[in-house]
Amino acid sequence: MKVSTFEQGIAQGRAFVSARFEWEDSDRPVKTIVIRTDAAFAAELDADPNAFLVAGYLPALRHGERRLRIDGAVCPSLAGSLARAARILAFWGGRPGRDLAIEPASGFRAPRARPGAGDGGLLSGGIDSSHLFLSHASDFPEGHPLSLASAFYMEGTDFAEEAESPAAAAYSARVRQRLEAMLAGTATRLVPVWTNVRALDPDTDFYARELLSASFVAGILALSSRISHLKIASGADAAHLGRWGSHPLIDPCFSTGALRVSHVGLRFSRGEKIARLSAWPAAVENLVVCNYRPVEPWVNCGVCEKCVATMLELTAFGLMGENRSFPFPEVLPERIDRIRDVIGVGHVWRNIRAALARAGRDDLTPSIDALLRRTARRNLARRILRPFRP
Amino acid sequence: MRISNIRRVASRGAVRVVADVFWEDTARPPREIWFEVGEDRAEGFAPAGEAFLPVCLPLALRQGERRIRVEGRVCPGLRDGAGAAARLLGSWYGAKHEEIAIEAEDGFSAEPREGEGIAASFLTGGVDSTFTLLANHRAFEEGHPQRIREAILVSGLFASEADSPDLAAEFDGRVRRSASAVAASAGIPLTIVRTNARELEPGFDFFARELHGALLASVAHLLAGRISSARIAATTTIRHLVPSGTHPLLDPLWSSSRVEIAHDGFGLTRVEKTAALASWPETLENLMVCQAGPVPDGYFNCGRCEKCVRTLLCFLAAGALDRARSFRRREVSPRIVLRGRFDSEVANQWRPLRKAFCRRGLRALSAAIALKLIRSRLDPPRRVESPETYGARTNRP
Repeated sequence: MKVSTFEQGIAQGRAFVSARFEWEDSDRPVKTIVIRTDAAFAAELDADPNAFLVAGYLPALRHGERRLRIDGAVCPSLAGSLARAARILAFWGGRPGRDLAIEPASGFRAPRARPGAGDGGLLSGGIDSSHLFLSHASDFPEGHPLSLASAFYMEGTDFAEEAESPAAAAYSARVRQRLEAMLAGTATRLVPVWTNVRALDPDTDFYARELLSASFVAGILALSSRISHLKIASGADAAHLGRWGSHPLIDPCFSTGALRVSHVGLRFSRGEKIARLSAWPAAVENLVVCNYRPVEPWVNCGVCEKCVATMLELTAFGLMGENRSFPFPEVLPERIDRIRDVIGVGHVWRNIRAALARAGRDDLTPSIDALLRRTARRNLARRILRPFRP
Repeated sequence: MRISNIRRVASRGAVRVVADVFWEDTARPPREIWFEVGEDRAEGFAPAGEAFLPVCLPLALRQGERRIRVEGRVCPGLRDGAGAAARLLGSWYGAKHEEIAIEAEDGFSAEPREGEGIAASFLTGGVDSTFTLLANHRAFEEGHPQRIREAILVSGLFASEADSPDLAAEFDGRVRRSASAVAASAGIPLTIVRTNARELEPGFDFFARELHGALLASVAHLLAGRISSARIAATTTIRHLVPSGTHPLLDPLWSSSRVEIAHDGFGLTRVEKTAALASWPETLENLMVCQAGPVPDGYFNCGRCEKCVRTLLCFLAAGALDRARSFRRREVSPRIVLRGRFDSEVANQWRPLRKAFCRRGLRALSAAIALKLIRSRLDPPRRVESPETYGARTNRP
């Protein structure tokens, strides 16, 4: 893979950097990968080769490239840790590990954090990232050097090939409104970052299991004059970590000499985070948890597994009444019955069931029991059929 | 558990930070826990309640204490990390209580650092920690904030596993000489720290599986007056990762807003690390991996114990056996491999060697290792705790 032709400028009112990705050993089309942000942050945007290295490394490995040649200098520490991340992901995926030679045209050089660069976190509007900002706000008051000055909202990564569609843009605008409302009255600034890094490989499974945090960090690295420490909220507590593309073993591998990347929030379970979020009504009222793209004016569909799970959790903690993020004011048992099965996080549903039982919502628990039984049956069938899959 | 009366005591050329540990739910007498450095390295070595949180938390968890209360203030980042560490350790080994309460007498707040701290790394003079130092100095040029500018050796940690006090002293002296020489080769000072922390819960098993990284993190937090990060060298790869006291998931959880604790070099095999070290000749003179002993003057390694043979094979795989000059004997052969013994605890460290020799066409060595790996599976698993399986006696061929 060759990464070259870095460009930087302002187009349609937004600042951008871009690079050309050309495959050498794989028969895939040339792509221009773009990272964009609001024009207000143009001075902090930089066509950093490290950003494009992080964007291209895992797709290049996946498609059999033997090297990644990139214009400019790259961080030697990043080059080493990318190889380690790739080994971990290969092991999790049951593949033999393979190394990819990184060939920077200007050699290896560790960048330094810019003076004034501060701490920031990813904010999607979901439970985990909202809890990250809540706990930081209470632990590090405004003006503290460790308070989160920037909340990065990643656009374009959820919908791969549709990243540039008007529908995706309209959805992003709605989410931004919610996030702005969440942060209103705080000193944290919302920094939207749009990128099409998934154009290199739009496969959803690859994105979730391998590319997830790499796609985020690639975008943030282009803004590394604004940030020196990026915090990514964990989706699970320390005892229930899954093998996903964002993980405490993976995320720090995308650190450079100028940007430290941490995977944080391993202390609390999802239910505990929701209970704590009751201290931040603006976050509860503006939650964005849906993995789909609901119709206007909603940001959550209210029917997918994640939406239903979140609504039930809010119900269990008495927070559903305050919520205007979902199209429905409450969850009926039929909505749970329509979920086919749970995606590998059964303990989350068991915790939801326990919380609902504690809250006296016995009308909902039989449907959850049935869902868990359905999931157990499907998981068994999957295990039996796995050896016969191509 | 309560940790209180934290104080700094200076005497006879050394400075000690001491705390009193009181058990609340366990019928155990109060104990003093202390960490000590030489007077010349005591700048920035200061009493801090939060520094005792990492080292005491695994002890409190093991004994089923319901809370751990620390004198002074605690960084909220460390509080959350310690809470996550308790969850992780509980998921690995089971816990008597669902949760342990973490309390600080002066509350939870983060003091901003005045000025920049320096990057530090724990160093024993062995393959892993020396590689961490080498890789860091290659990645970060002089003056870069992430370049390691101080090495830390926690001395005497394994004294209770030695066969005799004389052997313990010999081993400790060798580690000190090795680490000092490696640090000097890298042009950085070495801070030697002593502690009695292991006496609170004797037994190598507990130390290896739960305490190791936490104890090192406590040392780093006591040095927060001058260091901003401390690296703990990894010893394994993802393929062979098992729950352990120093672990890539666990170690970073002991970080505070002032001191970042990093688990460094995870994912590389010992063969790869040795190959990298082979290009740093001044270090090879002082590399020390041997836990047997005594070793005659002029050498750091006996060259005959399991760890020595394994490391020599790594040098052979890297094509640098002639450069392993700190080993008294440098002979490796299929016969030596077959004669030695190792159990399933270290079998994972041998697997990459078998592959490396297979790739290099050294089939006899590869076959000998394969045979040993099969035999290690047949051996009944042994607990690390027993002196039969660790320390000077065990590692003899």
